Amino acid sequence: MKLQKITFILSLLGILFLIFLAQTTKQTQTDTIQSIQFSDDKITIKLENNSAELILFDISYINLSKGDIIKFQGRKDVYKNKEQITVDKLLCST
Amino acid sequence: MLYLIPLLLGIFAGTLTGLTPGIHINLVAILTLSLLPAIYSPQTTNYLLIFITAMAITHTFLDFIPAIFLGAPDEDTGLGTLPGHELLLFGQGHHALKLTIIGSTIATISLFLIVPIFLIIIPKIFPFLQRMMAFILIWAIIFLIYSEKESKTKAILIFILAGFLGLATLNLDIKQPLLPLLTGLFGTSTIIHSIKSKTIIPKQKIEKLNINKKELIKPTIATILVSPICSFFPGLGSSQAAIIGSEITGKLNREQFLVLLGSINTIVMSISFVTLFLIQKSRTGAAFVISQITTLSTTNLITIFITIILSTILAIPIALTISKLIAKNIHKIPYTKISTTILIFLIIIIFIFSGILGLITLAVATTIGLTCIEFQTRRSFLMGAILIPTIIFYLPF
Repeated sequence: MKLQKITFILSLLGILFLIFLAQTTKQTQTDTIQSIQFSDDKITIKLENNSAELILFDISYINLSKGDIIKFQGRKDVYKNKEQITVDKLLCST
Repeated sequence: MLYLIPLLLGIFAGTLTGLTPGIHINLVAILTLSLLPAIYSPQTTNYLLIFITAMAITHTFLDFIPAIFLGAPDEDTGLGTLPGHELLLFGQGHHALKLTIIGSTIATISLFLIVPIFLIIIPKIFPFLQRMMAFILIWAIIFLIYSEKESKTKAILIFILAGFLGLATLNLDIKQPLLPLLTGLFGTSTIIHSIKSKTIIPKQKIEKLNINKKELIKPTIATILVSPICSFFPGLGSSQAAIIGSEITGKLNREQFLVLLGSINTIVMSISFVTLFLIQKSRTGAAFVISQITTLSTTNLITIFITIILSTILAIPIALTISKLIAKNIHKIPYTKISTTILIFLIIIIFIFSGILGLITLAVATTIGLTCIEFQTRRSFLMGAILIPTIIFYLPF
């Protein structure tokens, strides 16, 4: 019973700590849009200074075009042997 | 001859991964994926397909060995630990393993019954299923909680805790987030628990298996009925499918449940290749690696089927021989030492692949896994770590 309580409290504290880490450790990157492609379920953005493509799911349209400078946060991934970044947060800085 | 080399290499790799406690096939898939740029070329595509399929299928025949003999399952064999370990403590560990192998063999045979139906129906109904995905997953969760025989409150609590852990982990800036997440929830927590319990294994009996053929009907029907569930819905694995299957067909005894677990474990893996072919969705790590290599053609699918049959034929004697060897010697082996070595090995693997953040995730996931064990709640509720983020992703609002 005592061990149950200890592991339960530690679990709660651990999750809170991970949520805190998730909010604070993400890096924001800045880059310029080289090209932008819209499809049914995603938007793909090629960047000038990054070989990985940005992928935005569940957005059908955003008001961005070639040459815009953007700030973004996301997770790096490899899909079909190509590097990509699934975007969590995107900001247009110009 | 050229076909045989990747087949045998795949079976060898699947034997190693299946026997290594706490190592899920998804981890092996990640390892294979990281090696892919070095070994991939259009000429090697077919060999890689054979290697990955053989490895994955063999793995499903052997991964019950650590689950039964060491009490160290992965998320697919988690439910098998309890009845399997019970039989082990009665000196019937080898008997338990034979039952899961019968199940896996039933799965390979059933595959040829299920696949033609899948080929016709699934492309037609998948768009609808995809729209309803979140709601079907919510229904499945309610069903699982409703069918929980022990405390439903504790089951909900574990499910929500795991869900928050999944959401936090998937939002961390971490490589291979599923690796520490699933290893902690299902692997290291079980190993720590078994070290703490100081289990003493009795001498094992090697006897001829006597099972009435009629007893295999229920698990076979359950396999056929529930295999589409975990093949098309992300986050629902073998364990959840086994629970749903046993609820549909009515009460299963311990032996029948082990047969069902074995068969669902193998059929989920086999059908994931068909799912990849039909709807381009990868529901297992092995299917995911294949999706990164090529877009499956009909010829590729036939190659995969032939590989599944050959791997089954070769994996059965391998699993039986190894199980017999372990059963004869397990009472002589220092159990705690093995568990501690495995624990250290898993920590090193996670540090290499996911870094410090991975170790932190592993620690939290292990604590939740231990809470689940202490609560005596079914381990499948830990899959909230995958299911809750998946439901949020698929919700249409």
